[in-house]
Amino acid sequence: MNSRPARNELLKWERNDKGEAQITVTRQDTWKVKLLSKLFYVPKDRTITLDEVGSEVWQMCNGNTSVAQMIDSLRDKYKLDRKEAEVSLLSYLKTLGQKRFVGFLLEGEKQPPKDGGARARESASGKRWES
Amino acid sequence: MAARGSAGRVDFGWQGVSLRVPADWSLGKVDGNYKSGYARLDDSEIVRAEVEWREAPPSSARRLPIPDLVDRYLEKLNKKAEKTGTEFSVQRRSKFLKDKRWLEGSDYETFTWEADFRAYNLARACGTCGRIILIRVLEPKHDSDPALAEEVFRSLNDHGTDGRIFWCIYGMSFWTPEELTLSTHGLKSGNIQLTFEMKGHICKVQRLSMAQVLLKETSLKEWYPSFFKKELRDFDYTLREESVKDHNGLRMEGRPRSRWRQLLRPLPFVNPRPRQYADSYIWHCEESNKICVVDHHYRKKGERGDLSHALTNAYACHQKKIEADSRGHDELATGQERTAEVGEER
Repeated sequence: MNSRPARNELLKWERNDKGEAQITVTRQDTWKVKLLSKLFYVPKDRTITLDEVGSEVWQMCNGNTSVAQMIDSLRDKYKLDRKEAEVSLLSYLKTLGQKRFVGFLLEGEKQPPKDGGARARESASGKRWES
Repeated sequence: MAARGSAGRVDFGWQGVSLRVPADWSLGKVDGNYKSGYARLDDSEIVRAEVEWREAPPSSARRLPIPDLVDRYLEKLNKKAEKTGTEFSVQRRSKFLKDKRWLEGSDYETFTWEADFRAYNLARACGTCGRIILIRVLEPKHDSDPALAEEVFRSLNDHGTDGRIFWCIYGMSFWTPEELTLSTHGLKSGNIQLTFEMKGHICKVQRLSMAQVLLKETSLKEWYPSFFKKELRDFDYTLREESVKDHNGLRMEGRPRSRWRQLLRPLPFVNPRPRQYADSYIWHCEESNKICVVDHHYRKKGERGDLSHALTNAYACHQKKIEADSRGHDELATGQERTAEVGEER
């Protein structure tokens, strides 16, 4: 609850005209992808558009806002019960973490750590975060 | 941490058991039915309260006295602690309750046990309905306050009042007639759904959160048929806009589709759906940012009655919270609603 989600700095993202966050994920250049791209068309990157609530959470993943603060913010804005906000947010952050879109800064950490630990530090394109 | 003091309390009601607890305690697990069951309330860190209930055996000869039930319960806990190597201590007939007058007339025992947490327990056979309840409030050892446990225990009500049962989870509260029994429930985040049954009648009470997002680019009248497309496919229905509980709402009346149409379905004789009529109220509560739905499905045309209307009236969607206060339950009995502050628990 005290950890602070931070966006993967290697990901490009922008807001579209509806205010939704659009994340651009670059294709991984592994040997499997290279082989497949010779046989099929594999785009160099793909765009993921987050919905209104997802975009708001994404915006809050700035490394300064804790999970508990995010819960409070969502509760206030959408008039949610604590449990509702908590379950939805944690599940969403888990998905973002698994996809390596965000990492989680622990208490005292000011920037993404340089080595080891959380898999979330690896970028979606397979590179590590620059810190 | 649990909120101290009298401020910030919310109701919890399930299968006839109701409590008033700190606002940050919410349902974490629920199991069983009216006859026997279990509910657990958590805060953001730990389990805070557990309630177990069971219907009293019909014959008084078969009824175990409360101390014997407590013996059994503690024996099980002891065994568990031995297995895990946890330090476990018990204090029977513990005197942490300052006022016991409200327990007069019922068979009860108070006790505390201590392992990773300190648990204040009350085992009680209700003097009115005979239902046996074991309730415990858990507190961290270093910050344990029996006053909170006492407050929660005093708010305990273990049976329906005036033939009605009080339900309250995650701020969604309503009353049902005692004849309606809970058949299924879905407690998804943002979509709570409780289905009740009674001889040929099915009632569903549903609440959807984040209405402002759901209705962002559409109206309630357009949203409802698209969201409930699957549920509505067997009905020929009419939808009309009307004010429900002073909110922008809809009234849906449905009758079964023609038999010919059902025969035209692929594999019409496999899993035939029952032919039912429907009567529903749907409304958008702006104050709580929720969409509330009360459905009543019934088999025969003349059996509609006013069940859906009664359920809708007994549903507290925003500030009109139904008071489930300690023991007296005069307001529960009369179904009076109090106009407290909007979202008192927040």
